[in-house]
Amino acid sequence: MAVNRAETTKIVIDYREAFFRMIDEIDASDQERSATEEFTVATYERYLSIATAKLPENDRRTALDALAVANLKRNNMLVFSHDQTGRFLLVSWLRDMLRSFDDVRLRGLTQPDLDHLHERLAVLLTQVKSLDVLWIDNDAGFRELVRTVHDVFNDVAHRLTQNVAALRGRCDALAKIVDSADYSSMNRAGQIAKALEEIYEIHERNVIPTLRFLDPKLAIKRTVDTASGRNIVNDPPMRIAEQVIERFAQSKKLEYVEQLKRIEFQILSLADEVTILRQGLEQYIQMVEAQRRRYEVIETRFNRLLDEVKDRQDGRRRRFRIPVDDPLFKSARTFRGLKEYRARRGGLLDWPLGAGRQYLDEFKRVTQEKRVVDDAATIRAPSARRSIDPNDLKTERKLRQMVTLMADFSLPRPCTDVFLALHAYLKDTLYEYELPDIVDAIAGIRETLETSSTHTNNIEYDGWRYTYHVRIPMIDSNAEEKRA
Amino acid sequence: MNKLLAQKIFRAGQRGELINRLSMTATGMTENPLYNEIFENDAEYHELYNALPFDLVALGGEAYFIRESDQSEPYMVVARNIQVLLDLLARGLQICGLMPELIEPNGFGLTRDYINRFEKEEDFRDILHACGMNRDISIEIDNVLVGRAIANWNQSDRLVLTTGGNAFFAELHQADSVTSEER
Repeated sequence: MAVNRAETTKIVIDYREAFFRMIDEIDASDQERSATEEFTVATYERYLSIATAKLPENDRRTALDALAVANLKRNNMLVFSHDQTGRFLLVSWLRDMLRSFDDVRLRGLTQPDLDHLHERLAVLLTQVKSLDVLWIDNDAGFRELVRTVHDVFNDVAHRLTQNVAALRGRCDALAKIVDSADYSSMNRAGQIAKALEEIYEIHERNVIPTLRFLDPKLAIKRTVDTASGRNIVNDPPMRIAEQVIERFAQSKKLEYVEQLKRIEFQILSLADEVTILRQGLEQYIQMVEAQRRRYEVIETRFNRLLDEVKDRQDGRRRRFRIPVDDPLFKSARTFRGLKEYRARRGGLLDWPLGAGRQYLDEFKRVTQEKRVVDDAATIRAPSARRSIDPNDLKTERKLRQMVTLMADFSLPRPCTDVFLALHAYLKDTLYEYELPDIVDAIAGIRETLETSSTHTNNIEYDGWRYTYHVRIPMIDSNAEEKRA
Repeated sequence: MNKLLAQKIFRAGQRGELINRLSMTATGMTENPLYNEIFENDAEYHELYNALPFDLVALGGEAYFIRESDQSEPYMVVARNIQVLLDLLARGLQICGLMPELIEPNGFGLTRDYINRFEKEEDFRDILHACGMNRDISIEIDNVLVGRAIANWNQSDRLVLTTGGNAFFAELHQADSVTSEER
C-alpha cells in the first residue's frame, strides 16, 4: 500500500532507532563501506523487523508498508536502489536529518570537503567579478547570480555549523571514554587506546583544517580547479567571501551587503567555537603525544638492547654476555646494591682457606675419636637366648684347657718324636683327650721343629690312628739364630 | 619507631624486597604498615641504616628499599636483571598491541597466556641469555620481579606491577633518560 511522503517521513522519524543502528554499523565498518552510506536491503529489513516486532499487527503493517524500499522509491526518497546488489541510498536531506538527531553521528568536514567549499567560493568570486554581470535589480541574470551567492554562503555556513556540532559531539563522547581511565579489563583498555587515537585523528584531520579555513589572514597557496581551468587561489576562503561582499558594496547594492555580511559574521563566529573545542582537546592531544613518546622510548630501549646482543653474537662462545657495567644498564643504577641471593644459594661452598683448615681437621679428628669411644661403650654382650651347639662349648673348653696345659709343657730332652711326647703328656692331663687333639696342640710348642722327610711313625689310641712324618726340635745354632 | 615493624622492615630489606606504599590483599590494594612506619619516622630510619653498611632508598614516593652501600660489580646483577625484564615486558605489551597502563597496580594485569607468548620470541631469549638469565622469562619474572615485590600476581592470576615497580617502570620510559644516556 502506498504511503505519501509526509506520512513516510513521520514514520521514518518514529523508527529512527533502526536507521541509527544501520548508520552506526556503517560508520564502524571498514573504509570501503563507510565511504558511501548505502544500506543493504537485507540488514535494513532485519533491523525493521526487530524494531516493529512488539507492535500490534495493524501498526506493524502500516510501518512496514511505509518503510518498504518500494515505497521509499516511489516517494523519491532514494538516490538509487540497485536490485542486483540489494543496496540503496537515501537522499541526502533524509540522511542529514537522521544524522542530525544526535551530534555523535554528524560527519565532520575533512580537508577535501573544505577544499571543495573553498573552490566554490573561488568560482563564485570569478562569477561576481565577471564583466558580463549587469548590476541592475531587474536583470534576470543578476537575480540568478544573487541567488547563487546566497546559496553558496548559506551552504558554507550550514556545513561549517554542522561540522562544529559534529566535532563537539564526537569529542565529548570520546573524551568520556578516555576520562573513565578504566583499565580494569582488556576490552576497556583497548577502547581507551582507540578513543585517544580517534581524538588525535579528529584534531589533526578536522579541527585544524577547519580553523585554517576560517582564518581570513592565513594565506596558503593552493591549486584549485575552477571553471576556467586550473589556477592558483592565493586568498584564504574567508578573504574571498569578503571580496564578494566588497564587489556588491562597490555596486551600491547595500541591502545585499547587509544580508551577506550577516552570514559572513555567522561563519566567522564559528572560529571561536572551534578554538574552544581545540583547547578542550589539548589535554587529550598531550596524552596521545605522551603515549607516542613512551611508545618511542620503549622501542628505542628495546632496539638498543637487541643491537648490543646481536653485535656480540659472533659465533664464538666468548664475550656474548653484556657486562653489567655497560652504559645500557645505567638507568637501573637506583637498584644497584641489591644482593643476588639466588646465586649464593646455588653457588659453591666457601671453604675456609689456609689457617682455618687445621681447625677443621682437628674438629673432624676429635669427632671421629669420640665416635669410636661411643661405639665401644654401646657394644652389648651376645644375647643368652641364642641356641648354642653343645659340641661347640665342649671344643671351646678343651681348647682353653689345652692352651693352659701347653703353657706348662716343655719337650723332654733328648726328644726323638714330638708327636709321641705330646700324646704321652696330653693322654694323662687333658680331659676327654682324643688323638686328633695333638694336631692342635703342636701349635703350642714354642721351639722350632724339624720335619723328617724319610722317617714316619704312627700312633694308635682309642680307635684313632695317626700316621705322620716324625718331627724333632731343631737344636743347631742356625735355629737359635732364627728364633732371635 | 615501632620495634616489631622495624624488625619486619629489616627482614624485608635483607630479602631484597621493595616495601611498597600499597600492598595487595584479597580485597584490593591497602596501605602497607611497613611503608607508613618508615614514612612517619623517616629521619630515624635513615640514621639507623646509615650507621650500618646499608642505604635506605625512597623510590619516587611509592616504595622504600634497603641496599648495600658497597655498590661494586656483583651487586649490579640484580639491578640489570630488573631493568632488562621490565624493558622486555614493555616491548611485549607493545608487540601485542596493549597499553603499558595495563600492568599498572590497578590495571587489568597481564595473563600468563601473553607471557607464554613472549617466551616464543627469539629476540627475547637472546637478550635474556646475553644478560645471564638462562631460564624461561616466566621463571625469571617470578624470581626477579615477583620475588622482590616489584610485581605480583593479582587475585585473578594476572601480572601487575606494585606501586614501587610502577614508579621505576614509568621512570625508565621518561624520554630524557634515553637522550641523557646517548649524550
